Amino acid sequence: MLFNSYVFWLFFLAVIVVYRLLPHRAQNRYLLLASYFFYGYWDWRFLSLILASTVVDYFMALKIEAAGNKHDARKFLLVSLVLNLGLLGVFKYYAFFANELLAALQPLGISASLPFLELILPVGISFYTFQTLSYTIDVYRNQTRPTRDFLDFALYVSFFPQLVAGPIERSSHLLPQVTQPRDTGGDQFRDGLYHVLFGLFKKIAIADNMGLVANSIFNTPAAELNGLEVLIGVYAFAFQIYGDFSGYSSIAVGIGRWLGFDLMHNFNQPYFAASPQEFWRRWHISLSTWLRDYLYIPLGGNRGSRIFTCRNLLITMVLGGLWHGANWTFLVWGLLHGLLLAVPRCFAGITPASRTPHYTPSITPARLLKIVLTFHLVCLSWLFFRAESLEHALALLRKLGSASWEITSLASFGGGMIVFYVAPFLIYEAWIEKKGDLLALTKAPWGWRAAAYLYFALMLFFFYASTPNEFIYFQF
Amino acid sequence: MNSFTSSFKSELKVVAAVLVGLLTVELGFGPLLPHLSLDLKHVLALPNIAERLQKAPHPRILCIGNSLTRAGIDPETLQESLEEAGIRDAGLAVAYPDASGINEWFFALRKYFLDPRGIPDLVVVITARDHLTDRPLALSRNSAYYCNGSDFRDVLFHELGSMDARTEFVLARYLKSYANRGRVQPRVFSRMIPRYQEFLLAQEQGKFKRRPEPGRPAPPDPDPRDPEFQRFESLLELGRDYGFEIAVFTAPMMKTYHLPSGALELIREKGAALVEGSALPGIGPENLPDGSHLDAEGAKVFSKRLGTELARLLLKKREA
Repeated sequence: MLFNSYVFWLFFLAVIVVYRLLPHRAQNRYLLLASYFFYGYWDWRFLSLILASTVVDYFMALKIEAAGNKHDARKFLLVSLVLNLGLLGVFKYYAFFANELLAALQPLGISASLPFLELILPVGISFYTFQTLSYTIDVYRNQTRPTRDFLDFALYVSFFPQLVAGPIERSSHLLPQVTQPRDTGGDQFRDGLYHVLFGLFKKIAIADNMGLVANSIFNTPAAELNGLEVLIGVYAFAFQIYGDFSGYSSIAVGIGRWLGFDLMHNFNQPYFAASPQEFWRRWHISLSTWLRDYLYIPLGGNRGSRIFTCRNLLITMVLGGLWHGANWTFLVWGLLHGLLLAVPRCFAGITPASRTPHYTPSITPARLLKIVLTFHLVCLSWLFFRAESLEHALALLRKLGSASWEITSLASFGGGMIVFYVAPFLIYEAWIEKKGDLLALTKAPWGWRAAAYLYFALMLFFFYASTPNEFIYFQF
Repeated sequence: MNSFTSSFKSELKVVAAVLVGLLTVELGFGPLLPHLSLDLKHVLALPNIAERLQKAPHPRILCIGNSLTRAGIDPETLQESLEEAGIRDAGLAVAYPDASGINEWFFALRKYFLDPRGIPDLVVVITARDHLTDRPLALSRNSAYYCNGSDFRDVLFHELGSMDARTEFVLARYLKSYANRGRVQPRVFSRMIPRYQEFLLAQEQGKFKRRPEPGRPAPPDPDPRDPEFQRFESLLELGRDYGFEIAVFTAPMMKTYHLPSGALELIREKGAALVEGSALPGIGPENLPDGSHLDAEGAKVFSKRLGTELARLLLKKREA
């Protein structure tokens, strides 16, 4: 049940009509049922995994709190870690590492056999395992109190708007919204409408059409492409993945608002970042902060020498790459981002993250240059992310460096599509960036808002892609 | 909960303005339709084509196909060829919606051409290799233009499995803008994006489909099942039910081909006629400039042969 399908909106209509008639406790039970229905709609067998994760983490959190000392608490935390990471490992990484191990042993003359498991990757497993893990870790760190209501906790784990592709919510943020009566105040309907419409626009108009361009180019053997086509393919993919993922997140935030929840924003105009460090404060914020808090800082963060910090950054980003999937291309993508973050620190002593301004609305020529440079560095990493294999990525890179830059029909189509879809979108994002407020449009005069919504609606209606793609992040 | 309700009320004028905008688009779409594409102009003319055929003298011949038929039939040559072969004053109609196949032909036949006041004597299905094979229904166009009321209900309740498909099918039936929304983008892009048509042609020829890098094995066939021909069978049964003859005429392509064995069996079983036109003497690669559609010279050769074969069928029937 995808957010860009009619069936989802029929489902949501049925959910919200009844939901608004119920008192708080009944709302929670009803939302839990709806969330399990939503998840089971893909494959009811997946429900057993989410239930297992929920039951174990619920009890482990209580045990951690009840444990008299850190040593005992750590044992219960370990159970949670082993279960969640074990599930992830088996379903997501087993086949990859088994194959790689066998391939590595073969040249040594060792023929081994490992059990062959043909497993379907459960939708959203990486998202909800990270969400539940953060809960037990936070309880262990005394940063959150465990809930005693199992059904409330089950709703925190399985809340359907953000279940399969995030944002990965922390218990300290989402759980109180489950347990306490909700009225987040503000303009729930207005904000929700904006997020939903803008999200659908980003997914259906931007991402799916850019996917058409990117697929046409990445599906063609590298030998048949020229440098310009590869460049356009990479640009198209950069906006496909941004539109796709941020579109999903926007819709999740929007329907969350309509249900009275305040989910975190996952993106903040990432392609206006002026450095890789800033990019990671604007891109997939819920994952980057998760990795920072539960991996980078426990590894030592920037508390040691520069080399030590660089090591931590590299480990964090490589694992962040692998979080996306078991593939060398994701690993290299993570490594590249690790290097982009680490190298300036190691050699130039760039200002630490805490002292870098979080937000720089004024665009000077120097900043513009940095934005363009950062965008292209990120695009380089996207090439690895999207390529079928490392060989494919390297072949495309060679093409980028070649002298052949003829304007073919494919390049003309791709370039035209980018101008038509992405240029107005970027202008709008630049306006949000200048205003420094993700909800700037909702505060604009109503006529402007209506005009913008009509534009979104007409683009969805007439300029959808002939071959829509699934949400990319569902596979993670 | 209060904030939701109050927010809804305050945002009502924005929602209303957007709905008025969309309604204006829907109302403005009707007059625009014939200008959206030549194909649509032709589709909208199908009731008139059917009416003319009803009023035409016997034998009434309906040729139905897609753009291969549009490019391949020269009506004057066909009429002359029929007359030369002894069929004088035949009523002739040609229906050729672009990118259509067995689904559209079946529904169009039922909706426009089976009025008891003037059922055709002969329906000629002009096809290439795969147009008779069962395929997923093009929901919007079939709902809006090809399905009659009972076909609409049949498809909606018995054929479509998913709620998404059903919703699309219903929306396209009642909203002109929805049914034709797919025609806007190519129209705009062909004016805005240089070499857009060239790209589309390459895409249609499968140039940008996933292929393995040189030296890599090809991915397995995603759908290795045998093709099915249920809709084609239903179309052949229409001939029996309504008392008209059916002839299947294969259109010339770059490479000689044969219809799938399942389709051939059905043609034999249901007593339809088959004329192999896929490799006609006098038509060469030079007559297929884009690889599949005939040029004017090729169309003359094809139409002449079609006329001769149809006349033979009709005379044989007359004798019988």
